[in-house]
Amino acid sequence: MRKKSYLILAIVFQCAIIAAVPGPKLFTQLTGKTVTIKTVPVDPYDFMSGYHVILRYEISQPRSLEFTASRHQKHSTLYNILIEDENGVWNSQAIHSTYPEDIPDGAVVIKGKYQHGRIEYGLGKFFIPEENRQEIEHDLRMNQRQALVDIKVDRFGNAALLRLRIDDRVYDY
Amino acid sequence: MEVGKVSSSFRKQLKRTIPLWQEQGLLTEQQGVQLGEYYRLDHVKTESTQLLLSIIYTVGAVLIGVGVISFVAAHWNHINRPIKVTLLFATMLSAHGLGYHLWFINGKYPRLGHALIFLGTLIFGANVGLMAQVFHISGGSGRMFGVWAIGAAAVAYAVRSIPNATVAVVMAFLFFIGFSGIWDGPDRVVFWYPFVAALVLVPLVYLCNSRWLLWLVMVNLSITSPVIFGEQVGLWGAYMISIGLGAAFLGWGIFNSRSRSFQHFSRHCMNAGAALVLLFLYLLSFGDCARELEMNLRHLFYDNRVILSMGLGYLISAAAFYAISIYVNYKRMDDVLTVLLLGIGGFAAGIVGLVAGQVGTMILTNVLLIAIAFSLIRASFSEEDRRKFWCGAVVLGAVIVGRTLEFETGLLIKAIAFTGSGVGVIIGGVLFENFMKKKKVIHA
Repeated sequence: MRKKSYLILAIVFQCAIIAAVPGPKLFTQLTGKTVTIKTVPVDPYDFMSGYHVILRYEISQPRSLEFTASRHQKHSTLYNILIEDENGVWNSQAIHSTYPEDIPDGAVVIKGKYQHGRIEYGLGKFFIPEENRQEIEHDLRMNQRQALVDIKVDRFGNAALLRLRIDDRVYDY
Repeated sequence: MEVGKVSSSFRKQLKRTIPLWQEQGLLTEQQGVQLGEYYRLDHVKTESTQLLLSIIYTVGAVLIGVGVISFVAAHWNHINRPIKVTLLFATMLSAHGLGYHLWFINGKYPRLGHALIFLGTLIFGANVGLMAQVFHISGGSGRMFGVWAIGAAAVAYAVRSIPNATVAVVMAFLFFIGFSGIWDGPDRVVFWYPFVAALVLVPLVYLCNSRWLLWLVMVNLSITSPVIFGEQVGLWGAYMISIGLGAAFLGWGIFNSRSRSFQHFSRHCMNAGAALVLLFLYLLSFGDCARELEMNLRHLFYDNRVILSMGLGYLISAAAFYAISIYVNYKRMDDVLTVLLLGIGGFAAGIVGLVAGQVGTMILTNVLLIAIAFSLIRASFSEEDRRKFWCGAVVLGAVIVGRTLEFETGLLIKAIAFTGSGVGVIIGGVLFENFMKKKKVIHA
């Protein structure tokens, strides 16, 4: 009798874990503000995750702010203030180690973790269909400087990936 | 020892031998029946068949699980997101639900039911990866394996399932690999890994009462603990944590020897503990290792104080457990001397470098290894234990070979050393076997 009850509890627990996996991303997608950022991709294959593109962003290593690795500890949390430019692309204005108190009007704060000499925002993988892989790969290679990504950023700084855009082509999966 | 822990090959042999003894008048019919009932000899064949069925069902479940995981990689993009999520839950709950029904409701196919629940856990792991894919969640595989381990452990605890517990241990190890940071150093979370892994996985070993799980957990801890502290603290960290773990395993074995239900764990824990301590003592007996350890030890107190404190905490806990187990049980123990030499000697060898330098470390470790070897050989005569004799002989031989190769002596001396060792091993082995034969005659 006890085994039956414990097993049911364990299965419910597993279901709760699976439901919790996308929880934070879903919250961000439902409540966050849409922001467009520039990206440069690399394309690997991971058996466990299917085909995906690894995306890197200008805001991960913001040159304009002379972002240097030596100033930050590995795995430390950083907050990047983004401002929209005249082309609708959001760029880094300032980086803080705590959530900034004075945020300029219209700006957005995105939270990331410092590792591998970059700030990682949990937006590194964009999963693509196997059958479209070659097409997307080719498009990215030919248009590296024009690739943009739409994301949602919530009020806590968490970000969720929405779609990849290259010129007028939209990849939304 | 519980009948359940007697090997099935012994019971099969006994079933074949009892009629012969009865024919020869060594056993009466009544005694034969009593032995048969005590060892449940009528169930031997059925249990073998049931074990085979369990293995077949589990292999089938693993193959189906791999198929489902491969489906993850196929990236199924023609279905919309809500239906994808529904399908994920549906496949997992179908496996679990059918398994639950066959095991607990229908009750006629408990092994098949168990295998289906195991399949459900494999699908659970695949589902975690699929959810990440559906919602474009980044992050290393390490996190996924950690979540998989937690889910598998929950089911293992619920139904005392060895396959699910195995998945939990293996996934926990892969989680560790994912967070141990080959390129940029470990994430802080892995420093808690040995403590949390022991807390979660050791009770599972007892719940499932499985030697296979016991070894998996011991190997898991033996590999992960020195890696963490070796990376952060250096050779001294790796050495001392391994000695501490070895001493803890020895203490664990001593405690298990007192338990009727878990006595069969005792020998395995003691063997693992002794092997770990001997391996690291042997490594430290080499000059290069001793020198590096001494240098590492002298600079220890200036770096990584938090990690050092954590490591010392683990070490003190292990040493206390080891000391208490010996103190409580020393009157009942067969071979206290060897256990003391391993534990106390191992700890001492790690710190003697502070006062006696590299040379002191080398002298102490070599003397310890020789002392342990002779202690094992002495114990093998008093306990009539062949394994201890050969273990002692191997340790002695390894010390002689190690020193001979290390000091680059001339070919002639090397020839004498190797030949002498070989002759010594053969003569020692022959003398021991003659001793064992005489003991058999006396007992007969």
